Amino acid sequence: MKSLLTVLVLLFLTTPALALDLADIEIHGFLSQGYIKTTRQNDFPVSNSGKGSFNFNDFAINFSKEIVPGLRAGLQLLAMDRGSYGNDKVTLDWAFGDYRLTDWLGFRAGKIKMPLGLYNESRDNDALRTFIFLPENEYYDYERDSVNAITGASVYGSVDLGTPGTVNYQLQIGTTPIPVDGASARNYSAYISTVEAPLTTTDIKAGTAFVHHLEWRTPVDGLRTTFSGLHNSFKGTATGIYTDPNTAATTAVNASWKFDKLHRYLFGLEYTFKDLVLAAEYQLDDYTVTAEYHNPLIENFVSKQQSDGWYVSATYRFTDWFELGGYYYEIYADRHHRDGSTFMDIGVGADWQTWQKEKVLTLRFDPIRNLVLKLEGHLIDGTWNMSEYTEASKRNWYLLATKATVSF
Amino acid sequence: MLRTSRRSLPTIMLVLSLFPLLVPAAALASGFVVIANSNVAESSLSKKELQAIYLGEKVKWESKRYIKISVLEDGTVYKNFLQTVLGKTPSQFDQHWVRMVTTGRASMPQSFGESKQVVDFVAGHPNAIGFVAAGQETAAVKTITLK
Repeated sequence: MKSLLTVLVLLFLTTPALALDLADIEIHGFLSQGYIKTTRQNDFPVSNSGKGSFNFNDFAINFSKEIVPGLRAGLQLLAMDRGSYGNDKVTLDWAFGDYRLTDWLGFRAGKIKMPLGLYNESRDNDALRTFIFLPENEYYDYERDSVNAITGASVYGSVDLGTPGTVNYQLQIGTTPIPVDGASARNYSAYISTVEAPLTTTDIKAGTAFVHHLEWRTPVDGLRTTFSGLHNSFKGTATGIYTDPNTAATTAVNASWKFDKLHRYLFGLEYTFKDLVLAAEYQLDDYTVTAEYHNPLIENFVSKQQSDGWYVSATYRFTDWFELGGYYYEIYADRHHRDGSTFMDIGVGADWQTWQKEKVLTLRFDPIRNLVLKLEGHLIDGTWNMSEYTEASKRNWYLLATKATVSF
Repeated sequence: MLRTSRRSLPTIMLVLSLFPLLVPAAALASGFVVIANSNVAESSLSKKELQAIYLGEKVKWESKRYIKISVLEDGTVYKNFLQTVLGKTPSQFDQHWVRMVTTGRASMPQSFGESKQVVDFVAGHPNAIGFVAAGQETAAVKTITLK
Protein backbone atom coordinates (compact mmCIF):
# COMPACT_ATOMS: atom_id res chain seq x y z
CA MET A 1 0.00 0.00 0.00
CA LYS A 2 2.86 2.35 0.75
CA SER A 3 4.08 2.06 -2.82
CA LEU A 4 0.61 2.85 -4.16
CA LEU A 5 0.40 5.85 -1.90
CA THR A 6 3.82 7.06 -3.00
CA VAL A 7 2.83 6.77 -6.64
CA LEU A 8 -0.43 8.60 -6.04
CA VAL A 9 1.24 11.43 -4.15
CA LEU A 10 3.96 11.79 -6.76
CA LEU A 11 1.37 11.83 -9.51
CA PHE A 12 -0.54 14.54 -7.78
CA LEU A 13 2.43 16.70 -6.88
CA THR A 14 3.81 16.58 -10.39
CA THR A 15 0.50 17.31 -12.05
CA PRO A 16 -0.38 20.95 -12.50
CA ALA A 17 -3.49 20.25 -14.55
CA LEU A 18 -6.60 18.36 -13.56
CA ALA A 19 -5.17 15.06 -14.76
CA LEU A 20 -2.18 13.47 -16.35
CA ASP A 21 -2.25 12.62 -20.02
CA LEU A 22 0.54 10.22 -20.86
CA ALA A 23 0.62 9.00 -24.47
CA ASP A 24 -3.11 9.73 -24.61
CA ILE A 25 -3.70 7.62 -21.50
CA GLU A 26 -5.86 9.60 -19.13
CA ILE A 27 -4.90 9.20 -15.49
CA HIS A 28 -7.19 10.36 -12.72
CA GLY A 29 -7.62 9.51 -9.09
CA PHE A 30 -8.32 10.64 -5.58
CA LEU A 31 -6.90 10.40 -2.09
CA SER A 32 -9.33 10.69 0.76
CA GLN A 33 -8.54 10.55 4.48
CA GLY A 34 -11.04 10.94 7.26
CA TYR A 35 -11.60 10.74 10.97
CA ILE A 36 -14.74 9.27 12.49
CA LYS A 37 -16.18 9.13 16.00
CA THR A 38 -19.39 7.47 17.05
CA THR A 39 -21.11 6.74 20.34
CA ARG A 40 -18.60 4.53 22.17
CA GLN A 41 -20.70 1.35 22.10
CA ASN A 42 -21.70 1.58 18.42
CA ASP A 43 -18.91 0.81 15.96
CA PHE A 44 -20.32 1.65 12.55
CA PRO A 45 -19.63 2.14 9.66
CA VAL A 46 -15.98 1.94 10.68
CA SER A 47 -15.45 -1.05 12.95
CA ASN A 48 -13.53 0.88 15.62
CA SER A 49 -15.31 4.24 15.32
CA GLY A 50 -16.57 4.09 18.90
CA LYS A 51 -13.11 5.00 20.14
CA GLY A 52 -12.55 7.48 17.32
CA SER A 53 -10.71 6.22 14.26
CA PHE A 54 -8.44 7.28 11.42
CA ASN A 55 -9.01 3.89 9.77
CA PHE A 56 -11.24 5.72 7.36
CA ASN A 57 -9.81 6.37 3.91
CA ASP A 58 -10.16 5.72 0.18
CA PHE A 59 -7.44 5.90 -2.47
CA ALA A 60 -7.92 5.29 -6.18
CA ILE A 61 -6.16 5.73 -9.46
CA ASN A 62 -7.64 5.04 -12.85
CA PHE A 63 -6.23 4.75 -16.34
CA SER A 64 -8.19 4.96 -19.56
CA LYS A 65 -7.49 5.33 -23.23
CA GLU A 66 -9.54 5.91 -26.34
CA ILE A 67 -7.95 3.36 -28.65
CA VAL A 68 -9.88 4.47 -31.72
CA PRO A 69 -12.95 6.71 -31.81
CA GLY A 70 -15.77 4.86 -30.05
CA LEU A 71 -13.51 2.15 -28.54
CA ARG A 72 -12.17 2.65 -25.01
CA ALA A 73 -10.45 0.61 -22.33
CA GLY A 74 -9.64 1.43 -18.73
CA LEU A 75 -9.25 0.25 -15.18
CA GLN A 76 -9.28 1.59 -11.64
CA LEU A 77 -7.30 0.41 -8.62
CA LEU A 78 -8.88 1.16 -5.28
CA ALA A 79 -7.80 0.77 -1.67
CA MET A 80 -9.96 1.60 1.32
CA ASP A 81 -9.97 1.19 5.06
CA ARG A 82 -12.96 0.89 7.35
CA GLY A 83 -11.24 -0.60 10.37
CA SER A 84 -11.71 -4.35 10.38
CA TYR A 85 -12.19 -4.56 6.61
CA GLY A 86 -10.63 -3.00 3.59
CA ASN A 87 -7.32 -2.49 5.37
CA ASP A 88 -6.02 -0.48 2.40
CA LYS A 89 -5.64 -3.63 0.34
CA VAL A 90 -5.42 -2.69 -3.34
CA THR A 91 -8.27 -4.14 -5.39
CA LEU A 92 -9.32 -3.97 -9.00
CA ASP A 93 -12.37 -1.74 -8.73
CA TRP A 94 -13.38 -1.79 -12.38
CA ALA A 95 -11.73 -2.74 -15.67
CA PHE A 96 -13.50 -3.00 -18.97
CA GLY A 97 -13.50 -2.44 -22.69
CA ASP A 98 -16.21 -0.21 -24.11
CA TYR A 99 -17.40 0.08 -27.70
CA ARG A 100 -20.02 2.74 -28.42
CA LEU A 101 -21.53 1.78 -31.74
CA THR A 102 -24.02 4.60 -31.84
CA ASP A 103 -25.92 6.92 -29.50
CA TRP A 104 -28.44 4.25 -28.55
CA LEU A 105 -26.18 1.20 -28.49
CA GLY A 106 -22.87 0.43 -26.84
CA PHE A 107 -21.20 -2.66 -25.41
CA ARG A 108 -18.96 -3.22 -22.42
CA ALA A 109 -17.14 -6.31 -21.22
CA GLY A 110 -15.02 -6.82 -18.12
CA LYS A 111 -15.58 -5.74 -14.55
CA ILE A 112 -18.21 -3.01 -14.82
CA LYS A 113 -19.65 -0.72 -12.16
CA MET A 114 -23.27 -1.52 -11.29
CA PRO A 115 -25.67 1.33 -12.06
CA LEU A 116 -27.90 0.91 -9.01
CA GLY A 117 -29.91 3.98 -8.10
CA LEU A 118 -28.79 7.54 -8.65
CA TYR A 119 -25.24 7.30 -7.29
CA ASN A 120 -23.91 3.73 -6.94
CA GLU A 121 -21.50 4.00 -9.86
CA SER A 122 -19.74 7.03 -8.39
CA ARG A 123 -20.11 6.27 -4.68
CA ASP A 124 -16.36 5.79 -4.09
CA ASN A 125 -15.27 9.30 -4.99
CA ASP A 126 -15.91 11.64 -2.10
CA ALA A 127 -15.39 14.72 -4.28
CA LEU A 128 -18.47 13.88 -6.37
CA ARG A 129 -21.02 14.47 -3.66
CA THR A 130 -21.82 16.74 -0.77
CA PHE A 131 -22.01 14.06 1.89
CA ILE A 132 -19.29 11.95 3.45
CA PHE A 133 -21.68 9.02 3.73
CA LEU A 134 -24.40 8.55 1.17
CA PRO A 135 -27.62 7.34 2.84
CA GLU A 136 -26.77 3.92 4.27
CA ASN A 137 -30.21 2.50 3.63
CA GLU A 138 -29.21 2.22 -0.02
CA TYR A 139 -25.48 2.91 -0.23
CA TYR A 140 -24.60 0.54 2.58
CA ASP A 141 -20.87 0.53 3.28
CA TYR A 142 -20.91 -3.06 4.51
CA GLU A 143 -22.11 -4.46 1.21
CA ARG A 144 -20.15 -2.25 -1.16
CA ASP A 145 -17.91 -5.18 -2.11
CA SER A 146 -20.91 -7.18 -3.35
CA VAL A 147 -22.79 -4.47 -5.26
CA ASN A 148 -19.90 -2.42 -6.63
CA ALA A 149 -19.28 -4.17 -9.93
CA ILE A 150 -20.35 -7.09 -12.07
CA THR A 151 -17.90 -9.23 -14.02
CA GLY A 152 -19.49 -9.90 -17.37
CA ALA A 153 -20.98 -7.87 -20.18
CA SER A 154 -23.41 -5.06 -20.71
CA VAL A 155 -25.31 -3.19 -23.38
CA TYR A 156 -26.19 0.45 -22.91
CA GLY A 157 -27.24 3.54 -24.78
CA SER A 158 -29.17 6.75 -24.89
CA VAL A 159 -32.53 7.03 -26.63
CA ASP A 160 -34.00 10.38 -27.59
CA LEU A 161 -37.77 10.08 -27.08
CA GLY A 162 -38.52 13.52 -28.51
CA THR A 163 -40.86 15.60 -26.39
CA PRO A 164 -40.97 13.11 -23.47
CA GLY A 165 -37.23 13.50 -22.93
CA THR A 166 -34.30 11.09 -23.06
CA VAL A 167 -33.85 7.60 -21.67
CA ASN A 168 -30.45 6.19 -20.79
CA TYR A 169 -30.40 2.44 -20.24
CA GLN A 170 -27.96 -0.24 -19.12
CA LEU A 171 -28.42 -4.02 -19.00
CA GLN A 172 -25.73 -6.16 -17.39
CA ILE A 173 -25.21 -9.87 -16.98
CA GLY A 174 -22.39 -11.64 -15.22
CA THR A 175 -21.25 -12.67 -11.79
CA THR A 176 -20.39 -10.74 -8.64
CA PRO A 177 -17.26 -12.18 -7.04
CA ILE A 178 -17.60 -11.46 -3.31
CA PRO A 179 -14.37 -11.51 -1.25
CA VAL A 180 -14.52 -13.94 1.65
CA ASP A 181 -12.63 -11.50 3.88
CA GLY A 182 -14.82 -8.50 3.03
CA ALA A 183 -17.64 -6.71 4.78
CA SER A 184 -20.41 -8.51 2.88
CA ALA A 185 -19.03 -11.84 4.03
CA ARG A 186 -19.18 -10.58 7.62
CA ASN A 187 -22.83 -9.77 7.10
CA TYR A 188 -23.54 -13.26 5.79
CA SER A 189 -21.75 -14.69 8.83
CA ALA A 190 -23.91 -12.56 11.10
CA TYR A 191 -27.10 -13.82 9.41
CA ILE A 192 -26.34 -17.48 10.09
CA SER A 193 -24.59 -17.14 13.44
CA THR A 194 -26.33 -17.84 16.73
CA VAL A 195 -25.48 -16.64 20.21
CA GLU A 196 -24.02 -20.08 21.00
CA ALA A 197 -22.28 -20.51 17.65
CA PRO A 198 -20.66 -17.44 16.06
CA LEU A 199 -19.61 -18.47 12.55
CA THR A 200 -17.13 -17.18 10.01
CA THR A 201 -17.74 -17.43 6.28
CA THR A 202 -15.13 -19.62 4.60
CA ASP A 203 -16.27 -19.67 0.97
CA ILE A 204 -18.67 -17.78 -1.30
CA LYS A 205 -19.87 -18.84 -4.73
CA ALA A 206 -21.88 -16.28 -6.67
CA GLY A 207 -24.39 -17.29 -9.33
CA THR A 208 -25.34 -15.38 -12.45
CA ALA A 209 -26.44 -11.85 -11.72
CA PHE A 210 -28.57 -9.53 -13.82
CA VAL A 211 -28.74 -5.75 -13.49
CA HIS A 212 -31.05 -3.34 -15.28
CA HIS A 213 -31.07 0.42 -15.06
CA LEU A 214 -33.18 3.11 -16.69
CA GLU A 215 -32.60 6.82 -16.31
CA TRP A 216 -35.27 9.12 -17.69
CA ARG A 217 -34.25 12.72 -18.19
CA THR A 218 -37.68 14.25 -18.25
CA PRO A 219 -38.85 17.28 -20.28
CA VAL A 220 -38.80 19.26 -17.02
CA ASP A 221 -35.39 20.93 -16.86
CA GLY A 222 -33.25 19.42 -14.13
CA LEU A 223 -35.58 16.52 -13.31
CA ARG A 224 -34.43 12.94 -13.76
CA THR A 225 -35.74 9.65 -12.47
CA THR A 226 -34.12 6.24 -12.24
CA PHE A 227 -35.37 2.69 -11.91
CA SER A 228 -32.82 -0.05 -11.25
CA GLY A 229 -32.87 -3.71 -10.39
CA LEU A 230 -30.39 -6.34 -9.23
CA HIS A 231 -31.18 -10.05 -9.36
CA ASN A 232 -28.68 -12.41 -7.82
CA SER A 233 -28.11 -15.61 -5.83
CA PHE A 234 -25.07 -16.82 -3.97
CA LYS A 235 -24.12 -19.51 -1.50
CA GLY A 236 -21.25 -20.42 0.73
CA THR A 237 -19.90 -22.23 3.74
CA ALA A 238 -19.03 -21.19 7.26
CA THR A 239 -17.35 -22.61 10.28
CA GLY A 240 -17.28 -21.94 14.00
CA ILE A 241 -17.54 -23.38 17.49
CA TYR A 242 -20.76 -24.21 19.32
CA THR A 243 -20.66 -23.64 23.07
CA ASP A 244 -23.37 -25.37 25.07
CA PRO A 245 -24.99 -22.71 27.31
CA ASN A 246 -25.50 -25.18 30.16
CA THR A 247 -22.35 -27.26 30.20
CA ALA A 248 -19.94 -24.94 28.33
CA ALA A 249 -18.92 -27.97 26.28
CA THR A 250 -17.77 -27.05 22.78
CA THR A 251 -18.17 -28.75 19.42
CA ALA A 252 -17.16 -27.74 15.91
CA VAL A 253 -19.83 -26.42 13.55
CA ASN A 254 -19.72 -26.42 9.77
CA ALA A 255 -22.55 -24.81 7.87
CA SER A 256 -23.78 -24.37 4.31
CA TRP A 257 -25.80 -21.28 3.56
CA LYS A 258 -27.55 -19.70 0.64
CA PHE A 259 -28.89 -16.25 -0.23
CA ASP A 260 -31.38 -17.12 -2.90
CA LYS A 261 -33.59 -15.16 -5.27
CA LEU A 262 -32.25 -11.81 -4.20
CA HIS A 263 -34.30 -9.15 -5.97
CA ARG A 264 -33.48 -5.52 -5.30
CA TYR A 265 -35.43 -2.65 -6.85
CA LEU A 266 -34.55 1.04 -6.59
CA PHE A 267 -36.57 4.07 -7.59
CA GLY A 268 -34.81 7.44 -7.69
CA LEU A 269 -35.79 11.03 -8.29
CA GLU A 270 -33.43 13.99 -8.55
CA TYR A 271 -34.24 17.62 -9.24
CA THR A 272 -31.59 20.26 -9.89
CA PHE A 273 -32.42 23.95 -9.95
CA LYS A 274 -29.32 26.11 -10.16
CA ASP A 275 -27.37 25.44 -6.94
CA LEU A 276 -30.14 23.42 -5.31
CA VAL A 277 -30.26 19.63 -5.68
CA LEU A 278 -33.12 17.61 -4.22
CA ALA A 279 -33.11 13.81 -4.30
CA ALA A 280 -35.19 10.91 -3.03
CA GLU A 281 -34.85 7.15 -3.43
CA TYR A 282 -36.74 4.07 -2.36
CA GLN A 283 -35.19 0.61 -2.15
CA LEU A 284 -36.88 -2.73 -1.78
CA ASP A 285 -35.13 -6.07 -1.11
CA ASP A 286 -36.55 -9.60 -1.27
CA TYR A 287 -34.44 -12.70 -0.70
CA THR A 288 -34.42 -16.04 1.07
CA VAL A 289 -31.70 -17.09 3.49
CA THR A 290 -31.17 -20.79 4.04
CA ALA A 291 -28.75 -22.30 6.56
CA GLU A 292 -27.92 -25.94 7.13
CA TYR A 293 -25.75 -26.71 10.14
CA HIS A 294 -23.78 -29.93 10.14
CA ASN A 295 -24.31 -30.17 13.85
CA PRO A 296 -27.49 -31.56 15.43
CA LEU A 297 -27.38 -28.99 18.24
CA ILE A 298 -28.30 -26.13 15.91
CA GLU A 299 -31.56 -25.99 14.04
CA ASN A 300 -31.53 -25.42 10.29
CA PHE A 301 -33.64 -22.54 9.00
CA VAL A 302 -35.17 -20.97 5.91
CA SER A 303 -36.04 -17.30 6.26
CA LYS A 304 -37.71 -15.01 3.78
CA GLN A 305 -36.37 -11.46 4.07
CA GLN A 306 -38.38 -8.43 2.95
CA SER A 307 -36.68 -5.17 3.82
CA ASP A 308 -37.00 -1.68 2.43
CA GLY A 309 -35.76 1.87 2.95
CA TRP A 310 -35.99 5.39 1.66
CA TYR A 311 -34.33 8.77 1.94
CA VAL A 312 -34.79 12.40 1.01
CA SER A 313 -31.86 14.78 0.63
CA ALA A 314 -31.20 18.41 -0.20
CA THR A 315 -27.97 20.24 -0.97
CA TYR A 316 -27.32 23.87 -1.74
CA ARG A 317 -24.12 25.50 -2.90
CA PHE A 318 -23.95 29.00 -1.41
CA THR A 319 -20.63 30.00 -2.93
CA ASP A 320 -17.91 28.45 -5.09
CA TRP A 321 -16.32 27.16 -1.91
CA PHE A 322 -19.20 26.31 0.42
CA GLU A 323 -22.05 23.83 0.18
CA LEU A 324 -24.55 22.68 2.78
CA GLY A 325 -26.46 19.44 2.66
CA GLY A 326 -28.74 17.26 4.71
CA TYR A 327 -30.71 14.06 4.45
CA TYR A 328 -33.01 11.80 6.37
CA TYR A 329 -33.36 8.08 5.84
CA GLU A 330 -35.14 5.06 7.24
CA ILE A 331 -34.50 1.37 6.70
CA TYR A 332 -36.50 -1.57 8.01
CA ALA A 333 -35.43 -5.21 8.29
CA ASP A 334 -39.03 -6.28 7.75
CA ARG A 335 -41.21 -3.90 5.74
CA HIS A 336 -44.34 -5.77 6.83
CA HIS A 337 -43.53 -5.23 10.51
CA ARG A 338 -41.99 -1.79 10.77
CA ASP A 339 -42.70 -1.74 14.49
CA GLY A 340 -39.93 -4.26 15.04
CA SER A 341 -42.23 -7.04 16.23
CA THR A 342 -40.31 -9.55 14.09
CA PHE A 343 -37.37 -9.68 16.49
CA MET A 344 -39.55 -9.33 19.55
CA ASP A 345 -41.73 -12.31 18.56
CA ILE A 346 -38.83 -14.71 18.14
CA GLY A 347 -36.98 -13.28 21.11
CA VAL A 348 -33.72 -12.38 19.41
CA GLY A 349 -33.57 -8.69 20.17
CA ALA A 350 -35.28 -5.37 20.71
CA ASP A 351 -37.61 -3.70 18.23
CA TRP A 352 -35.11 -0.89 17.52
CA GLN A 353 -32.60 -3.41 16.27
CA THR A 354 -34.80 -3.94 13.19
CA TRP A 355 -34.65 -0.38 11.93
CA GLN A 356 -32.25 2.51 11.47
CA LYS A 357 -33.28 6.15 11.04
CA GLU A 358 -30.76 8.92 10.55
CA LYS A 359 -30.75 12.71 10.39
CA VAL A 360 -27.62 14.04 8.72
CA LEU A 361 -26.11 17.47 8.18
CA THR A 362 -22.97 18.12 6.11
CA LEU A 363 -20.74 21.11 5.48
CA ARG A 364 -18.61 20.89 2.34
CA PHE A 365 -15.76 23.28 1.57
CA ASP A 366 -13.87 23.59 -1.72
CA PRO A 367 -11.09 26.03 -0.75
CA ILE A 368 -9.17 25.39 -3.95
CA ARG A 369 -9.85 23.32 -7.03
CA ASN A 370 -9.26 19.58 -6.50
CA LEU A 371 -9.39 19.85 -2.71
CA VAL A 372 -12.55 19.09 -0.73
CA LEU A 373 -13.02 19.29 3.04
CA LYS A 374 -16.13 18.00 4.78
CA LEU A 375 -17.66 17.90 8.22
CA GLU A 376 -20.71 15.76 8.93
CA GLY A 377 -22.95 14.88 11.87
CA HIS A 378 -25.51 12.08 12.22
CA LEU A 379 -28.20 11.53 14.83
CA ILE A 380 -29.30 7.92 14.66
CA ASP A 381 -32.16 5.83 16.03
CA GLY A 382 -31.76 2.04 15.74
CA THR A 383 -28.98 -0.33 14.76
CA TRP A 384 -30.20 -2.47 11.86
CA ASN A 385 -27.21 -1.56 9.65
CA MET A 386 -24.68 -2.49 12.32
CA SER A 387 -23.31 -5.94 11.60
CA GLU A 388 -20.81 -5.81 14.45
CA TYR A 389 -23.52 -5.50 17.02
CA THR A 390 -22.98 -6.23 20.71
CA GLU A 391 -25.30 -6.36 23.69
CA ALA A 392 -23.95 -2.98 24.78
CA SER A 393 -25.01 -1.16 21.60
CA LYS A 394 -27.15 1.90 22.08
CA ARG A 395 -30.48 2.65 20.43
CA ASN A 396 -29.91 6.41 20.09
CA TRP A 397 -26.42 7.31 19.00
CA TYR A 398 -24.35 9.81 17.05
CA LEU A 399 -21.73 9.81 14.33
CA LEU A 400 -19.29 12.64 13.61
CA ALA A 401 -16.98 12.49 10.62
CA THR A 402 -14.58 14.73 8.80
CA LYS A 403 -12.81 14.01 5.55
CA ALA A 404 -10.30 15.64 3.21
CA THR A 405 -10.12 14.61 -0.43
CA VAL A 406 -7.65 15.52 -3.14
CA SER A 407 -8.61 14.53 -6.67
CA PHE A 408 -6.72 14.84 -9.92
CA MET B 1 -50.88 51.28 -27.60
CA LEU B 2 -49.65 48.59 -29.91
CA ARG B 3 -52.28 47.60 -32.44
CA THR B 4 -52.06 44.65 -34.75
CA SER B 5 -54.26 44.32 -37.79
CA ARG B 6 -55.66 40.91 -38.62
CA ARG B 7 -53.76 40.99 -41.90
CA SER B 8 -50.33 41.63 -40.38
CA LEU B 9 -50.64 39.05 -37.58
CA PRO B 10 -49.63 36.00 -39.67
CA THR B 11 -46.66 37.94 -41.03
CA ILE B 12 -45.49 38.86 -37.53
CA MET B 13 -45.96 35.27 -36.34
CA LEU B 14 -43.98 33.98 -39.31
CA VAL B 15 -41.15 36.41 -38.62
CA LEU B 16 -41.19 35.49 -34.91
CA SER B 17 -41.15 31.79 -35.68
CA LEU B 18 -38.23 32.16 -38.06
CA PHE B 19 -36.31 34.46 -35.72
CA PRO B 20 -34.46 31.68 -33.89
CA LEU B 21 -33.31 30.25 -37.22
CA LEU B 22 -32.02 33.54 -38.49
CA VAL B 23 -29.90 34.43 -35.48
CA PRO B 24 -27.11 32.37 -33.98
CA ALA B 25 -29.44 31.86 -31.09
CA ALA B 26 -26.75 30.82 -28.68
CA ALA B 27 -25.47 34.33 -28.86
CA LEU B 28 -28.82 35.67 -27.73
CA ALA B 29 -28.18 37.51 -24.51
CA SER B 30 -26.04 34.72 -23.18
CA GLY B 31 -22.82 35.90 -24.79
CA PHE B 32 -21.69 32.64 -26.39
CA VAL B 33 -21.66 31.13 -29.84
CA VAL B 34 -21.56 27.42 -30.61
CA ILE B 35 -18.98 26.46 -33.23
CA ALA B 36 -18.00 23.28 -35.04
CA ASN B 37 -15.35 22.06 -37.41
CA SER B 38 -16.16 22.96 -40.99
CA ASN B 39 -16.47 19.25 -41.91
CA VAL B 40 -19.56 18.94 -39.69
CA ALA B 41 -22.69 18.79 -41.85
CA GLU B 42 -25.08 20.13 -39.23
CA SER B 43 -25.57 23.86 -39.20
CA SER B 44 -28.12 23.91 -36.38
CA LEU B 45 -28.83 21.91 -33.24
CA SER B 46 -31.71 21.88 -30.81
CA LYS B 47 -31.00 22.74 -27.19
CA LYS B 48 -31.79 19.12 -26.37
CA GLU B 49 -29.24 17.84 -28.88
CA LEU B 50 -26.60 20.21 -27.55
CA GLN B 51 -27.45 19.12 -24.03
CA ALA B 52 -27.06 15.45 -25.02
CA ILE B 53 -23.70 16.17 -26.64
CA TYR B 54 -22.34 17.95 -23.57
CA LEU B 55 -23.61 15.21 -21.25
CA GLY B 56 -21.88 12.53 -23.33
CA GLU B 57 -25.15 10.91 -24.43
CA LYS B 58 -25.08 11.92 -28.09
CA VAL B 59 -21.72 10.79 -29.40
CA LYS B 60 -22.15 10.87 -33.19
CA TRP B 61 -23.00 13.42 -35.84
CA GLU B 62 -25.49 12.56 -38.59
CA SER B 63 -22.46 11.56 -40.68
CA LYS B 64 -21.82 8.77 -38.08
CA ARG B 65 -18.54 10.41 -37.13
CA TYR B 66 -17.75 10.62 -33.42
CA ILE B 67 -18.17 14.05 -31.87
CA LYS B 68 -15.17 15.61 -30.14
CA ILE B 69 -16.20 18.00 -27.37
CA SER B 70 -14.32 21.09 -26.23
CA VAL B 71 -15.12 23.44 -23.38
CA LEU B 72 -14.27 27.09 -22.79
CA GLU B 73 -13.61 27.36 -19.07
CA ASP B 74 -13.83 31.13 -19.06
CA GLY B 75 -15.90 32.46 -16.14
CA THR B 76 -18.97 34.22 -17.49
CA VAL B 77 -19.29 32.52 -20.88
CA TYR B 78 -18.75 29.11 -19.28
CA LYS B 79 -21.40 29.75 -16.62
CA ASN B 80 -23.90 31.14 -19.13
CA PHE B 81 -23.44 28.24 -21.53
CA LEU B 82 -23.84 25.62 -18.81
CA GLN B 83 -26.88 27.27 -17.26
CA THR B 84 -28.59 28.06 -20.57
CA VAL B 85 -27.95 24.75 -22.31
CA LEU B 86 -27.52 22.20 -19.53
CA GLY B 87 -29.14 23.84 -16.52
CA LYS B 88 -25.99 23.06 -14.56
CA THR B 89 -23.51 25.08 -12.56
CA PRO B 90 -19.77 24.73 -13.29
CA SER B 91 -19.27 22.47 -10.26
CA GLN B 92 -22.21 20.26 -11.31
CA PHE B 93 -20.85 20.02 -14.86
CA ASP B 94 -17.38 19.25 -13.55
CA GLN B 95 -18.74 16.54 -11.26
CA HIS B 96 -20.76 15.03 -14.11
CA TRP B 97 -17.64 14.56 -16.22
CA VAL B 98 -15.42 13.41 -13.36
CA ARG B 99 -18.15 10.84 -12.64
CA MET B 100 -18.13 9.74 -16.29
CA VAL B 101 -14.34 9.52 -16.46
CA THR B 102 -13.68 7.88 -13.09
CA THR B 103 -16.20 5.15 -13.87
CA GLY B 104 -14.60 4.51 -17.24
CA ARG B 105 -17.47 5.74 -19.37
CA ALA B 106 -15.89 8.64 -21.24
CA SER B 107 -12.83 10.79 -21.79
CA MET B 108 -12.65 14.23 -20.24
CA PRO B 109 -13.62 16.92 -22.76
CA GLN B 110 -10.80 19.16 -23.93
CA SER B 111 -10.93 22.39 -21.98
CA PHE B 112 -9.36 25.77 -22.69
CA GLY B 113 -9.08 29.10 -20.96
CA GLU B 114 -9.56 31.37 -23.97
CA SER B 115 -11.94 31.53 -26.91
CA LYS B 116 -9.07 31.63 -29.41
CA GLN B 117 -7.78 28.29 -28.10
CA VAL B 118 -11.22 26.73 -28.56
CA VAL B 119 -11.47 28.12 -32.10
CA ASP B 120 -8.01 26.73 -32.93
CA PHE B 121 -8.88 23.33 -31.44
CA VAL B 122 -12.22 23.08 -33.25
CA ALA B 123 -10.70 24.27 -36.54
CA GLY B 124 -7.90 21.72 -36.24
CA HIS B 125 -9.97 18.67 -35.27
CA PRO B 126 -12.55 17.17 -37.62
CA ASN B 127 -15.94 16.56 -35.94
CA ALA B 128 -15.11 18.89 -33.05
CA ILE B 129 -17.61 21.16 -31.34
CA GLY B 130 -17.12 23.99 -28.88
CA PHE B 131 -18.47 27.30 -27.67
CA VAL B 132 -16.77 30.67 -27.52
CA ALA B 133 -17.54 34.22 -26.46
CA ALA B 134 -19.83 35.94 -28.96
CA GLY B 135 -17.77 37.68 -31.61
CA GLN B 136 -14.72 35.45 -31.11
CA GLU B 137 -15.70 32.94 -33.80
CA THR B 138 -13.70 33.11 -37.03
CA ALA B 139 -14.06 31.91 -40.59
CA ALA B 140 -11.93 28.88 -39.70
CA VAL B 141 -14.95 27.28 -38.03
CA LYS B 142 -18.67 27.11 -38.74
CA THR B 143 -21.25 28.64 -36.48
CA ILE B 144 -24.01 26.39 -35.20
CA THR B 145 -27.38 27.96 -34.61
CA LEU B 146 -29.76 26.73 -31.94
CA LYS B 147 -33.10 25.52 -33.32
